[in-house]
Amino acid sequence: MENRDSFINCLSPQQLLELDACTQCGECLDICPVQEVTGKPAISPPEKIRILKEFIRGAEGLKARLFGPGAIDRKLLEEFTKAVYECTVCGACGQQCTVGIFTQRLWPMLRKEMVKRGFGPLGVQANLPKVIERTGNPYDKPPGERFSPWFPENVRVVERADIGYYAGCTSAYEAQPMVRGDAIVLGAIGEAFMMLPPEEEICCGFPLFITGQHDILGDLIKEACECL
Amino acid sequence: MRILLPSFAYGAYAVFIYRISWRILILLRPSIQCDRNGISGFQPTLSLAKSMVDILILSRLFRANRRLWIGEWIFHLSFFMVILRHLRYVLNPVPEWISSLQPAGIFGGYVLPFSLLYILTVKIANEKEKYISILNFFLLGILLLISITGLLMRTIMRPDIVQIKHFAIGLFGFAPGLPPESWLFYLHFIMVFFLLVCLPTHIFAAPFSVLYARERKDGLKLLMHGK
Repeated sequence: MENRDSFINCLSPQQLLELDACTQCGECLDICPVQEVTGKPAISPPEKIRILKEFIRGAEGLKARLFGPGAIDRKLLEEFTKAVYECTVCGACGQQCTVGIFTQRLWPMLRKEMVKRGFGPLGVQANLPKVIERTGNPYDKPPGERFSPWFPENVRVVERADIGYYAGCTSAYEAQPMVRGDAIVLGAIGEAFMMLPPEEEICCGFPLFITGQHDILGDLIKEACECL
Repeated sequence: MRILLPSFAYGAYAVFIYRISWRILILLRPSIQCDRNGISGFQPTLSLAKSMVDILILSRLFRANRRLWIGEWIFHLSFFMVILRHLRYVLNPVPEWISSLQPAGIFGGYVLPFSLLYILTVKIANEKEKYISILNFFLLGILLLISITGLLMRTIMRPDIVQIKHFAIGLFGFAPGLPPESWLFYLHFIMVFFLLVCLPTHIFAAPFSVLYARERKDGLKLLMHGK
């Protein structure tokens, strides 16, 4: 993908309207946790929106229509990628936003665009698709060990029930006390529940979505739905 | 001035129409559509009514920053009253309801510059405000100039308003008359059309964004709590 290609292809009409709706008031900076730590307005929400609008204007504006879209400076794209990936996508800015921009869905779409252009993802995030395809989780851990370390021995899983419990990769591999607690509570209240076998309970795709790597996302979601 | 002012006005209109058209064409381009499937129990009319209230009282700004909210709300209200009052210059005959709004419009004209100064003060004094939008301050400056020149024309240097009306109506009919000989009017007029050229399009997009935010909030409440 060339650096002169339009940025609007990654966004819906609603998101384009939201970009235009930004009043640059800066109220989101008061609540942004990244701003709290870094104090860098260059990676603030209004600045990301302002730069993106400049990219769009560069590819779609009057000058582009008359003389053809100009290539965007590579360094600018790299800085923009860094700004987009330093965000935690917590969505606090969107909650605070005085015009209600849904930033929690906007930033992942920008990451997707930067991945398409070859500027993202950053660091080890690039390994995620291969790891998830191979092991069914983003932690590169054996599928067989998804439940066994934490599932309480005295709690029973049934074949069919009204409640289906999906532990999730992060919970099962990294936040085990939490999911162990879920299973204990379900067992204690006597509520029958079913679960997928550990090899079939695969990643929901969120790590791929959030890092902008959407290529295998559709297939992953389809597979997960078929298992369910 | 007879040629310069109308030319500037028509040029400003052309730029404004181009900017809006460009944005509409851009909005028609994307192939990605948001999933707007309905949630069971969602009431679009009620959600729309709530978002109208959100827009009218700037409720999201109220939650974010109350000190700024009061200034912005008074600014928007007074600006609206002034615009309504200005309709008497472009409508002939002047409808009764516009004539009845004159006192409110005059009061709005006095309040407008002070609300702008208040907004500027809040933005500058906010220590946590790390993001300085040059465009925002630029627009506030233009609005302040427009409101001050308007106030001066109302109080100290009163131009011939009959000639103003004749000129304004002629402008809309592409047969502009002679503008009044008042440098204050020239400045006011030029600043207004300069504002039109620089008009932030968020004033058109923001209500939609507020509407979508309200739909999301109401939809999420239904999804999670069933009410």
